[in-house]
Amino acid sequence: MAHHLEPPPAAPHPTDTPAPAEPAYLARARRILAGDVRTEDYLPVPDSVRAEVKQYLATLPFEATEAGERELLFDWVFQHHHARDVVLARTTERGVLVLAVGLDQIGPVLERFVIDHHTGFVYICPFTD
Amino acid sequence: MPPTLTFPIVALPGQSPVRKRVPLVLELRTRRGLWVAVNFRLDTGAELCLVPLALAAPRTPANPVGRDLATDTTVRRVARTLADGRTELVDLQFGTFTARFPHLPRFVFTWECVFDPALAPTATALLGIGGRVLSDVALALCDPSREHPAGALAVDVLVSPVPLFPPAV
Repeated sequence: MAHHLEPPPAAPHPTDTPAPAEPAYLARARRILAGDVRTEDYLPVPDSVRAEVKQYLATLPFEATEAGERELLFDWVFQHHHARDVVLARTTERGVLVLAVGLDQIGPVLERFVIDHHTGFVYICPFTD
Repeated sequence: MPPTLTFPIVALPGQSPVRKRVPLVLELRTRRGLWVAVNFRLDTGAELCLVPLALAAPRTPANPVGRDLATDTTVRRVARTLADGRTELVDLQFGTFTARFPHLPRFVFTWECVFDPALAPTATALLGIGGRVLSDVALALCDPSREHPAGALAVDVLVSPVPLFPPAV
């Protein structure tokens, strides 16, 4: 009687096994650092902040340039959202891009990615202390 | 001559009179030779820079945001006067860090600093005006202008750039 070797059970292919779920903020950080920055990644500009900026600019004896107005607006948008947080963030002409908020997020981001000066992200501590 | 750097002053909204902070970004050198950007705040009343020791130390599970800065430190026990007049002895680490401004990579500075173990890593790093900071850069606070509606900090570098090649022996 011929012996037929039982084929060994097929080992699961590495791509078949689902990767452990990555937290949303890490997936987002990975995407942004790869260069895929979307409009919704920038901090939203609330109408109240826009109004406050207009009010402040009206008190000045001169008219601010477009870049100057944008600089103030982005500063205040950043403070509106993260005045009490430590963050990794960078400001561009399009807005404020926050990569990680708080030590709970910054730690894993620093562990997985190289956040050096090439990325443009700055370690920013709270404004309010 | 390197160009004058300007850092916008931050006005805190919703306050009257408007309170302002003077942040500036410095790139600090790590032991691995990388440069990491950290937001400092100019403290015109301080003679020394102040950085949380946790930020300068290597990253560990207990210190997830450590940047492992290239520092040389010596521990000194100093008497710290508390708000109620009492004094306590604390061990502070005095040393230097290596820094540069983001847009002037060839100008590298070594500045004195206190690395405070009692400060949380979320505490803001302070740039004091003293020591080699005074001889390396000139700082000026500028009034609000059209370009910087909340004002600006102007920084002029007073030292020579790092040579591209080592000097011949």
